[in-house]
Amino acid sequence: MIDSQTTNNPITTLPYTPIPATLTKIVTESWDTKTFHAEFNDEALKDSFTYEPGQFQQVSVFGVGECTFCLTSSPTRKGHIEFSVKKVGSVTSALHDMSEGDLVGIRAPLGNFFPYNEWKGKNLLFAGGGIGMAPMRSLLNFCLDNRDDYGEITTIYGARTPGDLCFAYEFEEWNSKGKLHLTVDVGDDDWKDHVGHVPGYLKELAPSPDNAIAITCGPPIMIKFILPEFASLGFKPEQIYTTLEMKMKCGVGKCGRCNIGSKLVCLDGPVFSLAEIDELPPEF
Amino acid sequence: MKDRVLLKDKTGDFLGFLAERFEIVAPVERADAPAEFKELAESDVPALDGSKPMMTPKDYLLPRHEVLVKIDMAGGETKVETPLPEEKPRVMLCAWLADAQAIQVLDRVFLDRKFVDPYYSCRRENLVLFAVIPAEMRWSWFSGSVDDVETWKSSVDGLMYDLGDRFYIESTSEKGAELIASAPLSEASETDTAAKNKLWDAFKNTGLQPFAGKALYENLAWDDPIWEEMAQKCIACGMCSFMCPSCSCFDIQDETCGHCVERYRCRDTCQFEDFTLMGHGHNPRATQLPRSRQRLLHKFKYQHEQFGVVGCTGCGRCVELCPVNIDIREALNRTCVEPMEQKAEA
Amino acid sequence: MAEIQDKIREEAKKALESGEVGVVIGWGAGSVPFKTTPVFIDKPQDADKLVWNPACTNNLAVYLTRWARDGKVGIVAKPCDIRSIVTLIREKQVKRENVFIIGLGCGGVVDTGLMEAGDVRMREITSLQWDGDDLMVTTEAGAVKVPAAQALREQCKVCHDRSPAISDVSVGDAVAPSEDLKIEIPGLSEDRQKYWQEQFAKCIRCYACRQVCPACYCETCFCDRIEPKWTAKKATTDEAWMFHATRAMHLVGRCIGCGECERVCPVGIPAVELARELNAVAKERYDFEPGDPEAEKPLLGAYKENDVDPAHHSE
Repeated sequence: MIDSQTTNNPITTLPYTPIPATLTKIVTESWDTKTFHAEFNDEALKDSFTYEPGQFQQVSVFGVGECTFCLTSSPTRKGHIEFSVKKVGSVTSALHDMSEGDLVGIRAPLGNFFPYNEWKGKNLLFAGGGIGMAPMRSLLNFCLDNRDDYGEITTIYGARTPGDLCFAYEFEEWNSKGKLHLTVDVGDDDWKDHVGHVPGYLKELAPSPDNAIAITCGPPIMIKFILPEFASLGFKPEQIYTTLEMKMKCGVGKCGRCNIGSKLVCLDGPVFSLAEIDELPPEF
Repeated sequence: MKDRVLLKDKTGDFLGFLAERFEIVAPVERADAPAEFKELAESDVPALDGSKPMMTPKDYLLPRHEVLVKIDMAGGETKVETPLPEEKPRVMLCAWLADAQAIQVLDRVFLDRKFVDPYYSCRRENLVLFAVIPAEMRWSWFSGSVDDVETWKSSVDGLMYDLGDRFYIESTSEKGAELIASAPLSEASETDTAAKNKLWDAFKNTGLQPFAGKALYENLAWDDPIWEEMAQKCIACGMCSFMCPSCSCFDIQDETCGHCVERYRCRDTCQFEDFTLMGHGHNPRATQLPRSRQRLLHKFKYQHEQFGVVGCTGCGRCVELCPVNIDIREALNRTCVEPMEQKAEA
Repeated sequence: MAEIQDKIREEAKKALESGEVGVVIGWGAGSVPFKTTPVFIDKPQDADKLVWNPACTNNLAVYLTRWARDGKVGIVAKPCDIRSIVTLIREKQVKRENVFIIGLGCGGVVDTGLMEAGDVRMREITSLQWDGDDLMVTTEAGAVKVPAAQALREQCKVCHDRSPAISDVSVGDAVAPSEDLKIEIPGLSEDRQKYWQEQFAKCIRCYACRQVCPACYCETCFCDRIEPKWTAKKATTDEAWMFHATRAMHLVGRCIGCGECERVCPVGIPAVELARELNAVAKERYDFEPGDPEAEKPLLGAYKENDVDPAHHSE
């Protein structure tokens, strides 16, 4: 929990009050996804604001509503925060129509985070599909910025087509400080990398489960097929982590719509190990 | 701690005494509708006997419509304002004991869990809470079946027992004791005390169900056929939730008016299809079956796991009002008692 | 009454045994003796779970759009419920050949709230039966007679259609209609505005009125739409007004006056009054009666050259 006294972040005392922030950069990632950079208007908060990889935020477009996005930037890279938005509904469409310099409201940081402290000295394996790369990107860049703390850092990232791959401008860094394997369902003339789904590619690459942690995020269908692959490679449920998605409104454990059994995704999540998920009722 | 009585013809004096010290919140009669909790205006006559249907105290503590944030964007500047309710000493009178216990459930959602809800907290802090035990219990009550109601006395500051021409007033906390010690009340006689005890026993034993005393949270099954049976009948209105003293799920919406945006919250329920419908079209509870299951398991299992209290307090409103007579008591007897008996037989 | 109940069970059993229908929707015993609950009988041997008594209030036609889409279902229906079914068929929500109607004559059903207002102790009730024009309430302490005028639901007192308009089997005798009630068409007035303002101020937006209504079958109700947002979700008088007034307009010539909306409202909003008034307008101007099996088209689907133009009818 972030202490509002030291950060002057009002989230702890006025948890529903959005804090004005300005969009400073908008990156078009793919035909339906943009990444927004935002800075808090309050200078003191801009400097002191901190968060953990895996946490999320509620972003307001005033007059339209609020929407939940993970913090996709790494807390090691200060001054601004980033969130990636796929255009699906009214708030995400309104965001896509916005320009640099426009105002949004932010409530952050919310939720739990990846237990990266427990993973020091281990090999990390990231397996992401589509927009699922967004929540993992925060952790990936965080670990790359603390490179000495971890063993091998391997990323398998897939999307439908080359044009659907987000964060292409960071691939070089991911592949130089760690190892990056790209795959697409359908390639094009210029595509030189792997073609196929992420679970199949994982099987092919066959990373070792020894002293390793796997982090996987992606569409439900990918998660469904990748979990058995991890299991057959010898990964135990305690070694596999993911983030869960449920509809949220308040983000602070009150509005009651993001529960899975007695766990609330907004407070107890969004980060869960597969061992924890196995304990939950099968409702997602 | 000395208990006292309020003679009903002296109610005015008592209310006058309270009004000098507190904002009085009590149920006020309405034409053709259940009484509703509100801050008493001078002209209001509170419905103190608690025998007739009433709205829940949650409607006061968590208004059906509450502005959370006002955003003023006039002149290119953005001002974000958080209009919190006034903090002042309040006394709530004549909540049903089941409703008062439900406030314990609300407290755990809105005052605990890492974040304090400032709006709820402003009304709840410094609230002195008196519950009523009416002369006649409603047919739908089943509080004694969900919990040991003796323990509920510590959830309130005092109880008012309707003894006909008088209320027996019992304090159950220091705050309550202080208040009744100085209030214009009469001494209770032994006859009064005996009558009060009799009324308490009647309350305790009202509507006792076969599932009474059973550890429901251990026995509610995820795949029980009753969920399908309930879902078949359920017409997916929100009445059971909206009229429930402990159901507190809400939605947050924006409304624009000129340069201003009001962000408000309003009631919502797990029984509505769009409650968990996500922007990209996926709905983890896409049919009525998981929605019917969610409401019951939430109250009797999840909230027990989260807080150690049962989310249903047996006020009976959903039993009385469900348009298709889905009776939560029947569902619990069916899901819990019958399988347990079968297990015992085997 | 017991005889009629036996006949209902017999007809349901026959329909299930012959395979004519896969399920019969009817009333079953409620969780308390003064209520009934919808039941969905899919085995002939379960037909004995069907009941017929003064508490058979639910208009079961509300389930037809869900159940009769893909196959034939049986439904036990009072005359008012049948008018709902007629409306659903006319509006092409349900095919006539997909419904097997076990039609009943009906002299009215009870308003349990009124009984509570009287001297009856609800907890002690063991059964409800009609005894001529009186309601016989059997309690642990003995039987109490409640005059029909006190026990009947409001809309049953003004119901003039007490025999099935259509049915596949008709059970029980026809019941003589009550006197035709002339519904006054109210003009605009401050009093009327004040009255409805007070009613809508009570609304908690639980949508029980809409959900229980057989005519409210829209996949997405206008008030649940996000774009465009016709009405906000909040429970304020203005928004509730928008909801109820729009709903009433959507029900003109379609509401058959079963009064379910009024029965289920937890805060006593008489929503059916609005629809009743609008229907009176439809009757006066276009001679249209909702639920009339003779009408070929819905009110708003039929145009005649000599129709009154509402725009020139705003006195």
